[in-house]
Amino acid sequence: MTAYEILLMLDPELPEERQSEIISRARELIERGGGTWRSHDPWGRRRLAYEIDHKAEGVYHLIVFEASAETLAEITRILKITDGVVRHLAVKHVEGSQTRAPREDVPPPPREESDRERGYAGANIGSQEEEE
Amino acid sequence: MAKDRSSQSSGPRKRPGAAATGGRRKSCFFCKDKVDEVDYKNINQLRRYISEKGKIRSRRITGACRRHQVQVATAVKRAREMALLPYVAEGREERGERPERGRDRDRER
Repeated sequence: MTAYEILLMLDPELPEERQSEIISRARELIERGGGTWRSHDPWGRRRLAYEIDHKAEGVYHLIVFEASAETLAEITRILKITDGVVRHLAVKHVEGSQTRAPREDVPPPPREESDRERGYAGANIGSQEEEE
Repeated sequence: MAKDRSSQSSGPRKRPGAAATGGRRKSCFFCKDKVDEVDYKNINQLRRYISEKGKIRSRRITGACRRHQVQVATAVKRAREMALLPYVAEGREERGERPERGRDRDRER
């Protein structure tokens, strides 16, 4: 059993109940395959970085579960042929990684690190130009 | 810019002013933060590793170590696939008119 996470992007025009249907279908598949469901984070509607099928928004859901590799392959197969799933991405879940939706277009909180980091980036570019 | 970090620099500055980063070793943000695996979902963090146009910044610019630079690249690509980050961004609007070709303008930021 491995912990996986799947980020789903659903069609924004899909009715609510169809969305939860897709999620519960995935859950069913996992549990039937002997896996365990860990969590589901609806990220909600988000603006896409680029248009897909002339749509500028997508509804994201992140699900985390444990399953065997075969089960995952089956879920992936189902998701690929499910209408309404625009994109999906299955990766190994890193324990302790955030599952909440990343905040959008909010500059990183003005914590010390982020400032420092930006400083580095700027400084490093300076050095690069100097080299050339 | 970067003045407050003179404690890290490996020696006296060669050229004051323009770029004070001469031989200073860039330190990897992820190593410092003890990040094991770079997360593709953390797009605000990844934003710092792509240029305005959406290209992945080189290690020379980001200062990331090999391990983490590889992870950043993978993470950015994953995020792109899910439309969390752009494949191509036009940068700022007023830059729309095409600058003369030649030097890669993307490097400027």
